[in-house]
Amino acid sequence: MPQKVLEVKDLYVYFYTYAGVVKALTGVSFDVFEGETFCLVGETGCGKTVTSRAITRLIPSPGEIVKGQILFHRPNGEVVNNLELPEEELRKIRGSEVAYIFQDPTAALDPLYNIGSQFTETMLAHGSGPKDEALRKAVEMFTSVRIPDPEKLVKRHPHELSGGMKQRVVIATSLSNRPRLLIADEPTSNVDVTIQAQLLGLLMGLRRDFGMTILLITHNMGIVAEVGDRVAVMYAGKIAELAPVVELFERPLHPYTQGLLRAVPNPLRRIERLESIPGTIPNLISPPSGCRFHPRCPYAFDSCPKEEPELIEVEPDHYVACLLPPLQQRRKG
Amino acid sequence: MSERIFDQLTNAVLRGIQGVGERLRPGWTTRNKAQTDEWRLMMYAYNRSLPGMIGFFLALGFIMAGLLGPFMAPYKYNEFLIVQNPDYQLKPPGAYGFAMGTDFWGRDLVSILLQGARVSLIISIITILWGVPIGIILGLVSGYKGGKIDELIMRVTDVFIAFPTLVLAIAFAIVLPPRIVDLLVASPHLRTLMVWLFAIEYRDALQLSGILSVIIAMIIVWWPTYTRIVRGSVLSARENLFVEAARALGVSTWRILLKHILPNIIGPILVLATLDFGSVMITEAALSFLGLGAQDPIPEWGAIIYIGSQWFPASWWLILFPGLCVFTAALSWNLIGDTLRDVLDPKTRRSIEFKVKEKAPIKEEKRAEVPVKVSVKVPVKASEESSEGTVSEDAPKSS
Amino acid sequence: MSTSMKRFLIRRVTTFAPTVFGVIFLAFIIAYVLPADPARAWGGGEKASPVTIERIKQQYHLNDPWYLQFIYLIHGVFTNSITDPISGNPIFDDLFRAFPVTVQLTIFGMFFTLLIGIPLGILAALKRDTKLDTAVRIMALTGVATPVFWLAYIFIYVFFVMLGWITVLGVPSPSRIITYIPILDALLLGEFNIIGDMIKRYSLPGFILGFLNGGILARIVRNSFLDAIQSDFIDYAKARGLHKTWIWKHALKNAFVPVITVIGLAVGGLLTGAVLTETVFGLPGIGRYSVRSIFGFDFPAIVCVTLLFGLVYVTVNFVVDIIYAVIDPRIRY
Repeated sequence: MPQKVLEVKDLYVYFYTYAGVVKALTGVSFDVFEGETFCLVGETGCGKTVTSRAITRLIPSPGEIVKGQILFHRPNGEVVNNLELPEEELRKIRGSEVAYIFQDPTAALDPLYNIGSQFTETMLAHGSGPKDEALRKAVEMFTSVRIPDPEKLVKRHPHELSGGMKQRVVIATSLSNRPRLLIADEPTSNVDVTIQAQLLGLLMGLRRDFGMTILLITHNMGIVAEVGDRVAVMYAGKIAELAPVVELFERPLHPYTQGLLRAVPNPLRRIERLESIPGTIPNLISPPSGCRFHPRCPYAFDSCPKEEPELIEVEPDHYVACLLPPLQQRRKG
Repeated sequence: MSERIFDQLTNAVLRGIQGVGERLRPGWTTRNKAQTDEWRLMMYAYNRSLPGMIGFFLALGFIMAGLLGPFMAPYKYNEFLIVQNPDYQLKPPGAYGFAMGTDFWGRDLVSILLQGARVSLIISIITILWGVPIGIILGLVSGYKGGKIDELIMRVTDVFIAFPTLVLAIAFAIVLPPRIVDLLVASPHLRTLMVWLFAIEYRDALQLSGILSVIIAMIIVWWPTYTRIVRGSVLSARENLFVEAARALGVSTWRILLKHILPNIIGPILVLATLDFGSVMITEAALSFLGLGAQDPIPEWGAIIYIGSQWFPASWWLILFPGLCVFTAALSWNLIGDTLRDVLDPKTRRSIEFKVKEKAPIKEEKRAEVPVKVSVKVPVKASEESSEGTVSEDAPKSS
Repeated sequence: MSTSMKRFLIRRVTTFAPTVFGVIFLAFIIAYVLPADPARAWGGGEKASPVTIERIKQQYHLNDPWYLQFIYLIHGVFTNSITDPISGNPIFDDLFRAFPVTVQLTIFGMFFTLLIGIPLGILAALKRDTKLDTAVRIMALTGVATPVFWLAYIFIYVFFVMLGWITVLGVPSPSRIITYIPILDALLLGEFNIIGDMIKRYSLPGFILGFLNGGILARIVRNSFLDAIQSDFIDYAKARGLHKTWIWKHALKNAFVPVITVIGLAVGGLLTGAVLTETVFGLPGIGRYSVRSIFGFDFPAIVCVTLLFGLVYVTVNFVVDIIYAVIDPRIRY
């Protein structure tokens, strides 16, 4: 039985803005197991980034984590609730046990400091030292992420590098302390397709070599199919469906998932029209009542606006949040 | 609250503008609907800014004082009451019923302050009215054409900017009066115009040579800043795809500049011009303090302060009140300009916008089916740095 | 120094020469445009004797065509053989006596500007959108709106007439000139009583300048600080678990960059433009000198002073550019 690395339980995150209270996450729960690549998928604005940030309490104001638990299984065996840890403990976890890769590598690096110093400071902040030792590690890491000429790179500044190169630097820096969990937030959205393939391959190789667990956030179903082990589909701040990847693609149960998969055209077949899901994502200040997807759902019936569906296990390890009678009947136990 | 009244007023003004536009060019309203809605939102946001409204009313007060003051003052500006009663000289506030005291010739301070308001108002208006457009036109040409013309204009601009503002203004203001006097002597029409503008008596017209020199001096000093800023904005606006599209369609240069580029960059320029209204007033007060500009008997706030400084600290009221006038007037323009800056920047406006939309929802009327206008509103950040920093302009760009 | 830096410097230098030349030329044009008879004015106005006037005309080549006059002028400037018709001294001697006073005033002025501006700006950024933030903003606006000479008299009334804390006469000077910076010389010579005099003399004008410019500086510091703190690389720094001090280090250095330009411009502005302050406080600096020479139609002096102004402006900009290039590696390209 594989070990759990992360348990998110009933997470609520609200943003208190001028326009009102944005209920970004309402009751998100999922588990991540050791060694797997867990994907969070959804449209822009569904809450996947907020979820990823919440894991180490990186939510900026006016956002607040209102309710829930985030249980992290630390490498030393301890299980802690990140939402209750004191700041200093949490700081130690960030960057060394849980690492992040963000979407835009240009923005992630400080333009005024050279690459080497930004790498070494990540190591030094977590107790590895001294500085020249860290620099040696830097060259080592840069080599493992396939950056050419790593010794020269250490002296360079961010603006001298291309997008793909910068993302590799970010990957190397984030992995410098051998984290247990790597949270990658759309790491390949800002680079072109060929680089995307390289970076993904790199990430998967590193996962294998370092024995990491990856939480991958993306809006691209193709990437999910390529590298994901299990996947959670999010919609309007809630999880709509959660299943192993093959299972989800072969038997999508939630109408939203079905819509998403239909929207990706099969390049081998000629079609007349592109399929899309009618409507737009809801306003999270005043979301639709009951099931949030019901205004756009082709199968919506009278219960849908009234009751919020819970995420229930319909088949082994396959969870859906939908009120459709066939799914409710298949409910285990 | 009172905001409702201001919003109603704003709506009325906007409807008026729409009416005029409709009369000049039928269909104006529908074509410019988006633009008008944008203005409405901006004005609503402005109405909710306390400093902005305070500035607005103060400026309104200043303009009223300038327009009507000379006619409503208890005494005329050239009533040297010292002739009536020698004791009227240099009286502090309250004596003999003079609310703010008298000056060296027994003139009532309130009256000459009001006349001074008129002088300040006209000088500032003329300076901004000429200086800003000249600067903008040169900036447009320089930024858009590029090449040798750009080099030439920028060199000249650099030289002018290298001169300390006040020193340059002083130099021109000293040098020009004799020539202006010649001009005034030669043209009675000019004299009549000036007399009417400044609400003075005909016999004092020749004393205006100082004022006119100051105006010209300030125009010369003021245009370079605008040229620089406009050029910078044009350089970035020029790269936009819609400009390239317009060129490909064969649209003439001037049309592109006026209809596509200018509306997008006008924001920060408007803010700067408003703020500069205040700066012009201060510079003009400084010049008259040094003895340039208005000559006796035409009063000027800065000149009154100078007279006060002669007998300082005894004649404190001659320093305090005129200075207060300059300060308040300049502050009002600064408040307006600063609020405009916030209102024009979509990011800062957002917080106010939401409150507005809740109270008075804008009716989203169906947009008429007209061809989409190419000039898209580009949010140009009006930050302080761009108006003062030289480095942002001259830093080598990889082009 | 890297080659990119060298090339950058050379590029900057070549832009400045034409500007300085242009400045002198403009000054010459203004002076030449003088309709009044300069020789008469120098000779003492109405009372000037024809002999004096003729001598002046000869000495300054006023009868020659304008281009020859310009050449004589340039020659005189560069060999310091140019004499002030009014004071009879070589002009640059006069200028070098006046310049230290302005430098001194600039030092005191910048001291107060930085003292007021930087802390207030940082505070306003940390407590954004609170009453303090609005207060700083109003302070900046009032600073620009206040006429220097008005405020000066009010403060002189309070601090001199009523309290007697400061002096308004005389120019405290060290017994020897070493660096042309009076306060530095006094420090080097250990003449602390002179320093005390200097403080009494220069504090109030310095404070007024600081008060007026401090608000504007605070505003700019606040804005650039906020920009820096909200940058993505700060997010990434937090995500990497860097210590709070290191995060601040990144933020401050980035915030500092635009502030440098503003401070540099402020220094340049004070060095060339404190005309009114010098006049009101009776400080014989180059501001007051320039106004005197303009009023006296002393055009050789006007040209020399503007040459000095041009050089100061160009030098300050140059220094600012260099500092900028040192701090920000992106600029060197």
